[in-house]
Amino acid sequence: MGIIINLDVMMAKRKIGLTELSDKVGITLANLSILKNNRARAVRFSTLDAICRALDCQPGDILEYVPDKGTEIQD
Amino acid sequence: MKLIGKDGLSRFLEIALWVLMAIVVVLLLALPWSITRITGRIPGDPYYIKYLVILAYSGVMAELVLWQCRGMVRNINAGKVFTADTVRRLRVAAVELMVLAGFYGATMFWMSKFFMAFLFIVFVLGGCLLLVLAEVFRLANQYKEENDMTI
Repeated sequence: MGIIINLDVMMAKRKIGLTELSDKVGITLANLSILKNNRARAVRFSTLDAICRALDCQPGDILEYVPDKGTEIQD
Repeated sequence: MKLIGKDGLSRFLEIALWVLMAIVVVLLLALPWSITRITGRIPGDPYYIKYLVILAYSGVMAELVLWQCRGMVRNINAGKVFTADTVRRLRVAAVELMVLAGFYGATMFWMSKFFMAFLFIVFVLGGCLLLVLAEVFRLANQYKEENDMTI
């Protein structure tokens, strides 16, 4: 999938660890790890909202679209 | 009354399936004697052989289907309802029922009894139903995985 989650980049910028973020956002460490390692299939708006609030950033700072190789846009 | 869980109906069902499997084994082992006792046919009689083959085959297939059912109930009791294992077990049980139906379909030619045709239809329908259920469980498992990976 072409959507990449740059959570680790934002976490490094804000100098915040996974455990601390997990406490602030209110989701489990395991789920946050799934999100950080790009293994999540979908992200709830409520989760995104909590992460953006905790890291003081925009959704665009966390989510990035990178086109897959060989993927063509069809009309 | 609790339906699913360690102290629910499904736990009772798991034990009942074990008991049923043990009964099937005993009945299978007792077949050579019970056929003579119930039908009056003795070994060497062509009908004795037919009864023995049909009942022994049915017993073995019933045991295999019960084994799959026991596995499914065990999954449910472990709290893993929608799993790939349950889907596989449903498919295997469906195939086993179809094979049993095929056997009864074949026996209709050398033992023309209405009962055989009835069993053939019942097992074909049962197999089809299990196949559909397997697909339903596969989709449910897919939705569950999707939901689990939604953070």
